[in-house]
Amino acid sequence: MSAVAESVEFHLPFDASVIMSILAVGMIVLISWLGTRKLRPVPTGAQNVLESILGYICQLADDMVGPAANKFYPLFTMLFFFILVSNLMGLIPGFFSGTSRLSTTVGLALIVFFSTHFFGIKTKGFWGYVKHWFGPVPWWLKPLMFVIEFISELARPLSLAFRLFGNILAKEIILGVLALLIVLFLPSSEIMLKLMSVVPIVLRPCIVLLGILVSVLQAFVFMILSMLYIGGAIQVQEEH
Amino acid sequence: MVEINLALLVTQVVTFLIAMVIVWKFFWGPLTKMMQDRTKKISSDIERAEDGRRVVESLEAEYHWSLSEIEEQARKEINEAIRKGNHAKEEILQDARKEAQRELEKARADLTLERAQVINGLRQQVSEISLAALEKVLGQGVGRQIQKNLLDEFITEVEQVEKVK
Repeated sequence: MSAVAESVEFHLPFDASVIMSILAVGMIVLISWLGTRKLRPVPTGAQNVLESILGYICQLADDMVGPAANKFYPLFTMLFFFILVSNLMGLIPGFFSGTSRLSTTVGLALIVFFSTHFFGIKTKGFWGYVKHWFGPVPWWLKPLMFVIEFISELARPLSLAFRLFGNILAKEIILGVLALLIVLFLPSSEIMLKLMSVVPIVLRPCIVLLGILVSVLQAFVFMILSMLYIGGAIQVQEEH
Repeated sequence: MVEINLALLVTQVVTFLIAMVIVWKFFWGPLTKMMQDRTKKISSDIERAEDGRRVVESLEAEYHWSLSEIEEQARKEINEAIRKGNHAKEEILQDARKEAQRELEKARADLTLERAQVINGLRQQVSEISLAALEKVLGQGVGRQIQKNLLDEFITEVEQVEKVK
């Protein structure tokens, strides 16, 4: 449930984050359809924009994951677009970001977590993959190393989920509070309160701009870290 | 808000995965494939252009080499022609000189002969005139053969005197 009255969800008796996610997917489909409806060898318009973004993500994946990166193109591109569109949806009055719900961000982080270990084990084999957690240390340090690595592996999805959730929720709360202040101060009969409404009126567009920056940045960070984790799990096999 | 709803989490994951498959299959997959095909095509085009450039360069080098060969050959032939020309010129000049020498010698010989003939003729005439004059002066006939002998003797003496001079 939303904490701010600005959100439509505030007035609904259920969690609408799935609806927001489906809307985000709908927007992604619409953008993709616009960009690919007339595929031309020499791109123009929306195709050009979509190609630039996809090309950049695929290139990053190639650099960070290695030769097997093409298997993960769908995951990385979808992660970026889904998180970006979900984040930006929170800037539209009445809507909220699906990524401002822990259930969504944990879900996304778990997808990355399971993908990392699944493909790590698939590439190297179970014992080969687990052996890496013991590290290149003397035998008596190996149990400690295993515990540290294990905790580190568990911390990764937590950090992914809470970073995204915290940033987006903070943005939503600030925007909601500013909207609430405008609603409270502007209709007031007292001059002082009326004057004070200038602050949220000026501040809100600034926070919206900041929100755009945070939305892009968080989507990018989530995608890059996913590449790093999956790349690390696969490259372990190549090193040995 | 901060709590995790398992049903929501599973729904979000399923939504994400289904959307990922659909969007990749119908939109981004074909687009990425087209981008990769284009990259391959550009690479192969660049490679072909590079091969073409190499062929053109080798042809150009070959052409320059042939051109320099032809120029060298032409230069040799021109020099040979000049040499032959000079040789022929020398031969012609030598022949001409020899011919001129021969002509000159022949002319000299002819001239000497002519001169000798003229001198003989003149001597004949002089002797005849002298005899005629002698006859008139002496008024009587002297033996024709004696006169002639006297005259010849005289002329020979005159010639010897002239030669001594």
